[in-house]
Amino acid sequence: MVKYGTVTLICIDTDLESRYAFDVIGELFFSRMFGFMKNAHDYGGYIHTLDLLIPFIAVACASPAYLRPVVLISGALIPRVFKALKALKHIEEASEACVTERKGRIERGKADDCEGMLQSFFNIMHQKGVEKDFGLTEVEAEVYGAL
Amino acid sequence: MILRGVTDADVLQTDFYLPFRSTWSRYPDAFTNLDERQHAQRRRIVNALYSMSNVLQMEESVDKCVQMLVDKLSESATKGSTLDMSIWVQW
Repeated sequence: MVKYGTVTLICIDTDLESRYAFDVIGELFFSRMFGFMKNAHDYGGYIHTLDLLIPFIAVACASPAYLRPVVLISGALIPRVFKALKALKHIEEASEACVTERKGRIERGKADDCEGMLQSFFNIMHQKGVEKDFGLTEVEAEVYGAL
Repeated sequence: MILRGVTDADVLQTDFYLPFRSTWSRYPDAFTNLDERQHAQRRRIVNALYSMSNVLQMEESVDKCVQMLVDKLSESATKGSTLDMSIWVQW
């Protein structure tokens, strides 16, 4: 606990929450902060989702590859772990929604003012997507990685 | 021990990150691709976006986020309220 002027700062290192980091991702990828900091809330439940997901996935990562199916299947029987697996789906859906929304704007001709990395991925897709086999799925994969 | 002449290509990535790999993508992502040649091919397509010069161009965007964070901290300081910093900044 640190006193900073009249503010008391309580640091809990083990919590996996970061409004700042998520807003940076929003700003860089989508040219707008998600609103984690501005509205002081968990936009889209992303932070809660990662809180559920990371501990379980960390256990799976640390397991030998041949045991991972057992870890994943047996883990799904535990309600908290089952929630984590559903959370992974939530991240996938979120990345798909971001890409679909931008794709719609581009098709309606309303993406001229769009910048950020997402727009750059779309530019790559349009310029050399066929040649490099870089399509909408690959754009979604990049966004999924960011989230 | 000093290793000489060791390049990235000599050090293969482990399978640690595989559980993070999406099940629906056509190519493994850059974090989980264990095939060095394919990783290089796919990475080359988006390399320019992750280059230092491109990252530096986005500095202004990061500054906006830093300013927002400072504003929120200042707001709390003015009110004299308690903040859980783990919610606000990187872990």
